[in-house]
Amino acid sequence: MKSKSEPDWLLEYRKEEKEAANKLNLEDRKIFLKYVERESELYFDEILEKNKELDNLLYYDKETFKDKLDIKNIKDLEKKPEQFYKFKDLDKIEALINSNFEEGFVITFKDGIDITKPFIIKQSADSGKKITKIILVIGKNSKLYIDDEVDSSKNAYSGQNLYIVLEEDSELNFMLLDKSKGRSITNIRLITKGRVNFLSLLTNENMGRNRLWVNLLEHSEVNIQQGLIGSNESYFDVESEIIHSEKNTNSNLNYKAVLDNSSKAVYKGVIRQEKQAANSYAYLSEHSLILDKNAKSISVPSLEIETNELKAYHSASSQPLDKEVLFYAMSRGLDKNAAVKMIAEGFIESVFNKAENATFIDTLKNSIESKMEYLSN
Amino acid sequence: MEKIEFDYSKYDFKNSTAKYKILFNEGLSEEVVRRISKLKGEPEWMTEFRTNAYKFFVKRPVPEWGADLSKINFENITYFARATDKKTNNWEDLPEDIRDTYDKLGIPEAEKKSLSGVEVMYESEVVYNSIKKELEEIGVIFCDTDTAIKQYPELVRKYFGKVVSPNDNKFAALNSAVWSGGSFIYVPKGVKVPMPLQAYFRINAANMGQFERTLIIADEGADVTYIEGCTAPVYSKDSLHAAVVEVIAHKNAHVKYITVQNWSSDVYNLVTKRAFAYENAFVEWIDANMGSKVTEKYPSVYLMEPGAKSNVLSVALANKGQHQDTGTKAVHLAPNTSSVIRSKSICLNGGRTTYRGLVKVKKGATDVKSSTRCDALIFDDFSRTDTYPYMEIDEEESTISHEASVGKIGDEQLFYLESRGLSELEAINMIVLGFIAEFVDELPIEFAVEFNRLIKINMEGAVG
Repeated sequence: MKSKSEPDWLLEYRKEEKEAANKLNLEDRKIFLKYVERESELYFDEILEKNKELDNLLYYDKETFKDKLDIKNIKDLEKKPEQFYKFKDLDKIEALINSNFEEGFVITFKDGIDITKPFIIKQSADSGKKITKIILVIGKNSKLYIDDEVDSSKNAYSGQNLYIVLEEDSELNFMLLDKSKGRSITNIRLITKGRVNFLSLLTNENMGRNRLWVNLLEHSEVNIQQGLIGSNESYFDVESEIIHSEKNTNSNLNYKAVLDNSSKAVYKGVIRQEKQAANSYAYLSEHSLILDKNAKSISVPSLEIETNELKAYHSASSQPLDKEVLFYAMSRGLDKNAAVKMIAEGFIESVFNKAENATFIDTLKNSIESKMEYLSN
Repeated sequence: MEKIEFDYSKYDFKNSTAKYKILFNEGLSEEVVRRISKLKGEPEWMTEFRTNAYKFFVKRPVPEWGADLSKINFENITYFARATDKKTNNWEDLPEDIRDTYDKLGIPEAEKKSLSGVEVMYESEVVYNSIKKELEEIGVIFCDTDTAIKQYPELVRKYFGKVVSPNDNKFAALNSAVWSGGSFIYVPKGVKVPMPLQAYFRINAANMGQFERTLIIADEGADVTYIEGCTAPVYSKDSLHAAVVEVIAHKNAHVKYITVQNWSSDVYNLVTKRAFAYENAFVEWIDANMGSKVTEKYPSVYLMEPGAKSNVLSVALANKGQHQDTGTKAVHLAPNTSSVIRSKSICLNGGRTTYRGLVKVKKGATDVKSSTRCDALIFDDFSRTDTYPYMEIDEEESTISHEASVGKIGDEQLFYLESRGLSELEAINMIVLGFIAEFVDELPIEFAVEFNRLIKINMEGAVG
């Protein structure tokens, strides 16, 4: 299966994951099985051998992070790291990646660090497949910025399982930018006792499957801002699942999508407040702007509530371009194309309004702008 | 927390099955289906319809996406029972025990208040059907569906099974195979029925499935309100209720369908309700679900032609051991159609409510407007409430919105009311009745009074 140099536990693990993949569904929730029409395109056979030298995956300023982190290649570990036990596979695709990842790291950040320079994960594939698994452990009392960029070229295939454990009194600022031209899978799973600010912008041009799963432990908080721009034939399958499993937890999720041409987006939002999640608060909002009559939007913003000591809200909408706003913009001298772009840009940008980090905001805005250039109207 | 079970004894009018004239053995087969049809003296096409539906029923799996239905044993259900042989139009002619039951339910009073012709369903068949002269004079047909097949065969055949096809789902197929009773209403062109039409019906014997079939046709410009209310006696074995309701609202017609349900807590209530709304027609479902072990009910409106509108307002209350899996579907197939959905749910003492709704906009259905609002009250941490609103939008020129909130009664609200001298229970009652007030406003006064009382009875267990 993999190169002979891998330790026995890892070979065993890959085998177990392969069996799990055979057993698991494409979706962990039955209610979403209705929307898996194109998921089978994401299956892949096992990677028989390493196709080539992988590009560098991790980028960070050696000086800044000196003595602050510990990076281990999974293949060099003598036994199965404990984090492997914390996350149980949710669906078939996640298990597939776990069974076949080509490169994997366990990265441990020390307690009490405060670094504003982002730690960068670059998941870029030029051709073939690039399948990775990364585990990040962030210690107590820390503040950290992580930038995850996914970019695969047209015929490439990118798959990423990213597991993050955040300890108490820490803050994680995370940005995901997926501008793949090929197929892309991103599974991000977080267990947090601290505060997480999560930004993501998806502008895939082919097929993107994005999963965000957050498990909130006592006194934790997550703020999620997700933007999505669909053009041409792109297809998105996005699911964000927030589990409030302990008391005093807060979640806030905002999602906005602009869909042009024949793009299609399926958005599944789940907020689950379990029995022990007393005194928790959840908010989910989901809004789509549809620019073309061939674009399609499906959304299921769901709530599952098992405690009464809470407040939970969600709101969702889907709308066409407001003709009055368009007329106004055009009356100020913009041609229709430019006016549409300006309105759509404003719509999508507003989802990131609350974000704090200037570097991330600039990157996001630039990406939105350059993507908008492509939209043809 | 103190737990009080809902006292159903008030509605416990259980009668012995010994009084049934004809009772089929438990279990279902194509043979049983044919026998039901033969016994009812039905035309060939209906027998055919039933046997076809039976085949679909066998083929279709039990749906797994919703509540737990695995405990239903289809072999343990009696598919047909006839309480009395002859039908009657006169209240006094009814057998005494049946009359007693409905006296307790207050039907004669409703009658006195001229609500409408009363149609009572006892077991699987309508045994009492008094139609006011008023209705006949304006050409309105209001009878049980079995009678309609004999008296208006062409009319029934034209519409029967056209809105809900026998292959729609397992329980619609079951109903199509073994249906019995239900109401048939036809309102001719331009006629506005001056009073709401009412049908009381109930399940009685243990293990007795009820499969009524209701068909309402409002011709062009017609206007009709129909009210169904259910109370069911208490019995120990699980009982199944799988009704099908079909509504057709032609051009400019208005149909308002009001349901207040209060099944006993051992009933599986799996109902398919659907309406077709044609040009500028307006269909309203006003739906309250209380009691039952499991309810799966999603009243839907297919907006077939331009200008059609729908309004769905529902309340679900799940007490101990109950799962109310309800919701609404609005399917927009034509331009300029609009839908409004409002859902209120309350769960307590370990009850579970689920809102499962669908708003679908087909390509070409431009300028559609749809708005959904779901609110849930949850009383304790062994209850559960879920919201699954599906939105499938294939058309850019449509404006769809959805909002939901879940929470408990605010401590500060309770504190305020208690500081004004109310007891905790009174305060809870006041807040809950306020929470569902917009629903109660839609009910005729007799129903509103009864409904408020039912809510209060349920709330007795909420003080903790």
